[in-house]
Amino acid sequence: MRHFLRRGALAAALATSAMTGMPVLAQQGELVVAQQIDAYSMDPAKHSAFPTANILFQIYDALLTQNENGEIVGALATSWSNPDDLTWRFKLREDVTFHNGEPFNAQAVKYTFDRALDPDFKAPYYSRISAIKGVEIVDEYTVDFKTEKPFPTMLLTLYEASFPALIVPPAYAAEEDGAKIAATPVGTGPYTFVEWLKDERVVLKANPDYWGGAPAIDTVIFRPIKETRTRIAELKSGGVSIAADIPPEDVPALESGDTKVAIVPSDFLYFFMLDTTRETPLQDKRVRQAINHAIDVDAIQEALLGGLGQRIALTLPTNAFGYDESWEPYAYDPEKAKELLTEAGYPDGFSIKMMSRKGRFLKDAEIVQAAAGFLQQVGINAEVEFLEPGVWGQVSEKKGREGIVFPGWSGRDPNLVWFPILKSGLYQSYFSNTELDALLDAGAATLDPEERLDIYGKAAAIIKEEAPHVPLIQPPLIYALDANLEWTPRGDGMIDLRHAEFAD
Amino acid sequence: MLAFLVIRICYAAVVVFGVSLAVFFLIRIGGDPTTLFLPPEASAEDIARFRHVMGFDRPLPVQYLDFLHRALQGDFGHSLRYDQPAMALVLERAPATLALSGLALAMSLVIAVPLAILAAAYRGTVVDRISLLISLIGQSFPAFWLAIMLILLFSETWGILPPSGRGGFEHLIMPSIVLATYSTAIITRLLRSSMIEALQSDYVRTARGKGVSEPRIILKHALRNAAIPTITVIGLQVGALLGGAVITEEVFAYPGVGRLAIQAIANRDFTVVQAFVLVMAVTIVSINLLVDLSYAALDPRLRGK
Amino acid sequence: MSALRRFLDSWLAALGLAIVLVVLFGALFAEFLIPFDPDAQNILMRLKPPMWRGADGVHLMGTDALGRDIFSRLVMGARVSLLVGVASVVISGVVGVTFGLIAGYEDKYVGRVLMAITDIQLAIPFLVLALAVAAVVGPSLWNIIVILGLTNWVQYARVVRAECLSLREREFIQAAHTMGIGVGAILVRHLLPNVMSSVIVISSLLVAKMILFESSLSFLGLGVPPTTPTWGTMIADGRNYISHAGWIATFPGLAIFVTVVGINLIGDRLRDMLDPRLRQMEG
Repeated sequence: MRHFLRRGALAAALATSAMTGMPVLAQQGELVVAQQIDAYSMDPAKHSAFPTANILFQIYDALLTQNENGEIVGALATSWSNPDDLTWRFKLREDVTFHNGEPFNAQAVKYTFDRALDPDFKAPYYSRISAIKGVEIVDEYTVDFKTEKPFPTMLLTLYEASFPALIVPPAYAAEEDGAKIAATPVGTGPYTFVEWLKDERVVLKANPDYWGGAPAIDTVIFRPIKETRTRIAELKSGGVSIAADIPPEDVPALESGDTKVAIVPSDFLYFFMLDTTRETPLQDKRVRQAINHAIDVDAIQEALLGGLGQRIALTLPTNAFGYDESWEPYAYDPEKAKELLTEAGYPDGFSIKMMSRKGRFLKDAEIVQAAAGFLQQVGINAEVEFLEPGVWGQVSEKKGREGIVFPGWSGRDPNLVWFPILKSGLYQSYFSNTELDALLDAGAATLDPEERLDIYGKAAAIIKEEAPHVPLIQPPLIYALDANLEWTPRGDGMIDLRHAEFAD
Repeated sequence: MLAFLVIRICYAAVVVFGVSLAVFFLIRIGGDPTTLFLPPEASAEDIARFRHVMGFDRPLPVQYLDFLHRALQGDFGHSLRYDQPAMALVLERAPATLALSGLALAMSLVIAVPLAILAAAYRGTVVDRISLLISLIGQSFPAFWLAIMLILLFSETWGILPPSGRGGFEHLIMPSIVLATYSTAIITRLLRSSMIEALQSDYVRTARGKGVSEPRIILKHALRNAAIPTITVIGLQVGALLGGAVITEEVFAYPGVGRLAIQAIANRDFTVVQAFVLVMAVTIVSINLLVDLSYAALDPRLRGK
Repeated sequence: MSALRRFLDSWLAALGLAIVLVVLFGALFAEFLIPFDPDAQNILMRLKPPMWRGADGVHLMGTDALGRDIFSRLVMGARVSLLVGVASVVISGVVGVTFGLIAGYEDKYVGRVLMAITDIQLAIPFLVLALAVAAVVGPSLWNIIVILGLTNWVQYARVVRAECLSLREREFIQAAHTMGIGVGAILVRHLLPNVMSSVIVISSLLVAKMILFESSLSFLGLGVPPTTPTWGTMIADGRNYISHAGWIATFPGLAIFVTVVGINLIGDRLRDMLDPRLRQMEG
């Protein structure tokens, strides 16, 4: 079953070390990761795609990172504080150098953010860091991040899933007007860049001097394989050791023999957004509650996601700031739904548009169709329309999402989720409630966690009662692995190979 | 002959220009890539600002004149996604696609030509039936279906061929089989019927009357005449063959231009789509030009047309 | 009647006709044939194997990921797939024949421009063009039909033009011309009937190709939306279940294969009967 190539590579590695007379290091051969697409650029501030970020995260570090418990902890920064509401002060790790020997210091941090915040640089992820008004050097290893307004989610802006937050070496990044770093990257990370064969492979080699400890695996290769069946076939035949984006149906078959499966609920949010800006039955709160009662989310999760993922009570990931375990979703109760519809004046139901993309997220089209099936049973005729992602973007921009919408969102803080999609008038928001608006503004204006918890607790009660959304599930992230590989996936979708190792 | 050549080349240039014009406007009907490129939380102002910096907010004719102006100087634009020259992205992947298509075409010829000759020579026999069956089945399969089946069998179940990627010859086997299936079917059918017609023609009868041996008649007289229409059709099929490469590359994760094009279309990476279509158009037009020229060389009467 | 008998002389053609008639019957009378509503979901009954392998034996060909009856969807899918095939061929035919007639009758100015457009079309890989346009306008059923129609007319134009070029020198056309009959009338009344046999042959073979093209677009994620069952989307969506619920993709795969074989058999026979020379002009 196992494919010959892998053995060949190992043999070649052994042969090389035998020839040079060097002892075989305690390092382990080669780890191949298959994800859907290739990197777009090797410059962390020049792209907006997760597969690219996964590759770059092995080469670069951010000031902060996420530990195995999902907490934000220091990486290139060791500690932080708030001298005032508009300042975030970071102490930096000393004695860190970039792969090319450039020193890591406050200057590098300032350069990294100045570069990405420059409008002419055209960083696609500008929005994620745009709250930063400037970076000031306090001393060689201390920097201040300045904001115009209090910015409670600063830490989430400075860790690796905020792509332009990866720190670049100032002198090198300026070479050839940035073309150099975009082709041959240099960072502080656990792996150094070897080669990039476009659409074929990106090869990285362990950095023995990594400040976080040298990684166990010697060579890491990222391969782009779009077709799911092909990724699985590669894993089964031993050509790759980590295959990302595996459908839930394949989990049982991959859990035996030479392969295993690693699953984690993602930080991503599946929910239906109910458009209240247009004259439809959805403007009636009772109708929105009825829709919440009508869809059997547990059954959908069980059937379409194999029971994987995390049921959510409100549109917020369960690991987000302020998520309260005691929150309860609307119970599946079609009778109650019909009652509410009758009360609202729709005893025979009504027809409404349902909009989604297809193939953008795991099982999106199936989930939307299944939900439409449940709505049918209480008399609501949902006319499902699937938009191509580009068309979806155009429609969204004109605020043209209509009816029951499946948009998808992420963010580990109410200020990142509720504010942009529930606050009146914002371009992604299709809901309006003055009381909620006031709370969302208040939550965004303070750094005090206690105060924010209190504010968002009140906001949650309003959101539950007004039901502008149908909260569904945090879908699972499913990876299939070589059975010998020890590696833990992360809910934010980033692949971190710093602690990956083969068992034998 | 020279005048004919010049006219034909000028015409080819007009066609390529027409392609660039059509594609430029077609892919832009649905709006620009800004919302696909920026993160979901980008505000309306962020979107407007980015659009302006990129020049997507200019009227389309202005953008086209700008494109044309640069293209004439050899600058086919910058890819939004890759932040690199679009033409370079296409050209660096072209050899892989060329290798795959070339092998597939060679494979088709190796199977189709002998099969068609035998089928025509032994019309109505088992060989002929087999040739009909192959050409029928070969053009009745969705290519991606065949590709997935091959991976399932040869990689997942038997583990004898690598399912994807590029490397040794073994990586090319399954993709080229998939790509060759359709063209094998077409070439077999065409060549068979052209051969049958040629074998019934007057000059073959004359040759037979003169006592020329049958193998010699088939290979020398009939095949040469039957080849001409077949080659024309292959020339016209180049576009379809290259289009088929798109699907094959996608399934087998083969790093060719087709996969780049599909991604570029999904991303609305206009400059890359344009560069790709332009390279394809030049390839197709050149091949058909060569076919036309070889015709003209063979048959002087055609030059006037 | 004798034409039909001549057609049926070939048992392969008879087989092809039988296949197509069965599919056509299914497509026309789908409502009366299907045991279940093709859109009715029951996610408790999802991924049930075909009747002869399943314990419950309710679903002839099993159920898909949403618990919909595959047989019912297959029969409804026949209607949509045939509609896609036939309607897109009609569009191709109208565009291509019009181009061909005009370019073949008048090969000075208009004709040359039309042939240049044809060559431009020919120089763009069809699949990429179709994909790009589908991405832009959004893949609804009728959009897909129009896209397929407008990207596959070149063959008509080339063949019809070639035939017209030789026809227009013939006496009856020349006579019509000298009698002062208008160009439009000559094209429609005199040239069109004479190229019809080629058009029929091309059309029959193109229907088969269109059905395959639709499945390719579905595979690339830009086919007819999944709420409308077509064989292409059924395969494309079913391919992820292939290792443990293979029936989802297998039945529509077989349906496409058998139907396309049937149509091709008819087309081949029509070509042999109507227009033996045509085989040299297309692929």
